[in-house]
This record gives sequence, structure tokens and C-alpha cells, in this order.
Amino acid sequence: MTVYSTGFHHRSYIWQLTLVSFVLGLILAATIQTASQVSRAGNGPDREGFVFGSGSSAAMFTDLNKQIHSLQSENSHLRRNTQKLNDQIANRTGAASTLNQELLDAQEFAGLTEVAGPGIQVTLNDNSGAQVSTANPVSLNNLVHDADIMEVVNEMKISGAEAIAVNGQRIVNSSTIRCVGPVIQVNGVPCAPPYIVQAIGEPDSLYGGMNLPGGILSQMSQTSPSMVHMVKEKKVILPAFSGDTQFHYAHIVPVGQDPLASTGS
Amino acid sequence: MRLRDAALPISGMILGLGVGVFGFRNFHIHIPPDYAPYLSLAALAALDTVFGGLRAGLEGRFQNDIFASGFVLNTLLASTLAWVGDGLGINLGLVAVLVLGSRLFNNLSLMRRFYLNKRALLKKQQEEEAVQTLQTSSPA
Repeated sequence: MTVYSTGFHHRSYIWQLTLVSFVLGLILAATIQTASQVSRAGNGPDREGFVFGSGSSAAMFTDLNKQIHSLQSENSHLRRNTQKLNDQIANRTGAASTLNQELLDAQEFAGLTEVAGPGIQVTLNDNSGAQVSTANPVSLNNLVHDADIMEVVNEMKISGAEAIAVNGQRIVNSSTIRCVGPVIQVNGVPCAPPYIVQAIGEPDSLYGGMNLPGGILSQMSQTSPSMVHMVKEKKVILPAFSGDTQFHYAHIVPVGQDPLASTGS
Repeated sequence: MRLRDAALPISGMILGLGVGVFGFRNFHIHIPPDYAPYLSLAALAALDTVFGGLRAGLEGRFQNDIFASGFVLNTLLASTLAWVGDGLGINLGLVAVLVLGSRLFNNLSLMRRFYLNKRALLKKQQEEEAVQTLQTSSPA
């Protein structure tokens, strides 16, 4: 009746279709399995090559950040436990008590304990009213840079600060302050303005030291007085350092031994 | 081809899906995630082949060799295009997606037309027969 002959007597093609459909099902299963694997691992192939544009990478980033936070809180918890145990031992024997006091002093110096005392608080903020463009280098002075914070920290140490923290991150021996794109990382933790730099020390000498002409704060005040705000505090509480304190390469040289002899072991 | 003939390919696909999911899970076969884009292109090519085969069967023009070679070559070409495109920095997989996708729609519309035409023809025939029987049975 038409060009289409529907009464096709041998239907072998149905079986072939079935076979190919079976293979299609297999491929689909593989695709589904791989896709679920990718979403679980959170590191799918970045076909755009743009890390922050891909949802999976961003998810991994937040996951890792959460892990870091939980590990840091566990770390400080364990450190408190250790201190408690040390205190208990020290209460029993005199020698241990001396040792414990020395340990506490060392920990305090290293920034591994929460400390409180009089000091100052410096708040650094971007000059909000100003136009900032990369075309005009002078206009970049309206932003707080990592170098500014480093200089503030350095001047606080010169002025006699005993303990310093930036946005709740304790500054210790291994601390880093660096610029990563639009944010500044302190100890690897991203911080946003306003940057609050707190220091414990004699408040008046700290205040005077920070206010010396030609210092970093006076330079920033020249750009805009609104960028710097400094107050003396009766009591400043600084948190303990919560990062890694393990040394993997540096070893203590025993007293009286030639340091050169021990290297290379 | 009657509609119930389509049940066989569909159940074949569901069986394949089941065997695949079961097999991949139980025998711990892991396909590297980097191959996921190529795999989905292969699935698209296979789907295109199935639809093409259905349509050819409907039109009575089904040929074994064309069907089998088309399945293998289309699948390989689609995946290879994507792979080469990744090397060149162009998303050549889009070409395969576009062509195979449009062919899917094309084939589906042809199959739809075929069934609708058939139904219309059947109706017309019945009407003509009815008129004929009416004319023959009624006294002149």
C-alpha cells in the first residue's frame, strides 16, 4: 500500500536492536557509576580548566576547610588535656613541678597557650571611599596589604610586644602572612578586612612605639586617617596557636656536642 | 512492526542497565573518572544507533552490516572526537552531541509520522469499505 512494508516477515533486526540496546544499557550503567564516583570524590575532570568555576572543586575546598577547622579544634583540645595531665603530675612531686613550670614557660614563649594581659589593639581597614585601580599604583595604597600587616607585627615586636595575634590567629615562630588574591592569609587561614592586630605588652610603650613618625601606621594614616585605629586595652586575650608544631627535619643538638658532627645523621 | 515489538529492545536495555550496575558494583570494575565524558558520548552514539535501527526497521530498509558497522564506528568516532578535542583545546565532543542529538529527534519524528500515516490510511480504508458495503447492500 505504501513504500513502507510493515509486514516484514523475518524480524531478525529486532534481535539485533535488542543486542545493541543491551550494550547501550551497559554503557549507561558505566556512565552512571562513573558519574556517581566523580561526584563522590569531588574531583571531576576540570574540562574548563578553571578551578573556582567548577562546583566540585569548590565543594572539595569547603570540605577540606571544614576538616582543617575540626582538626584544629581537636588539636587545641588535646593540648589542653596534656596541660591538665602535666598539672596533675606536677602537683604530686616537686621535681615534676619545676619541670612543668619550665614546660609552661616554653609553651608560653612558643605561643602554644592562650594568654591574657594588658596591651593594644590596632585595627587596619581599607580606605572605603577611595577609587582603587591596578592602572594607578598609588591608588593601591588605599588597600591594606600583607606587607602592611607584616610591618605592623614587626613594629609591635620592636615596641616590646610579648604576644601578637592577627584576626584571632596567633603569630608564632612559623607564622606566615601572605596575600592570596583578594584576601590575606594568616597562618594559612583567610582573613578579610578589618584586620585586627592585638598585642600584649606594656600599653604605653606599645602605643608610643607604634606611633613613631615614619612608622607604618603614620604612613597609612597619611593615605587616609580612617585606615588606622589604635586603642590601649586593659585586658587582651590571645588564643593559642593551633597549627602544626611538628619538626620533620630539624633536630635538637645535645648540649656540649659539636653541631657539625651531628649533621648528616 | 507493532508496538509490542519495541518491548524487546527496551527490556534489553533495562537488562543491560541492571547487569551493568550489578557487575560494576560487585566486581569492583572502576572506570577512571577522566573517561566519563567519552563514555557518555558513547552512550549517546549507541542510543542514536538504536533509534536509527528502529526507524530503518519500520521503513523495511534494515540492513545488518550497516547497522552493526554504524554502531561501532559512530561510537568510536564520537569518543575519538571528544578525545582529540581535549588535546586540541576545543570541545569537539559538542559536534558529536549536536549531530547525534539532532538525528535522534529526526528519527523519532519520522517514526511518529510513520505510525500516524498508517493510522490515517487505515481509517480511510475502513471508511471506503463502509461506503462500499453501504452501496452494495442498499437497494438500487
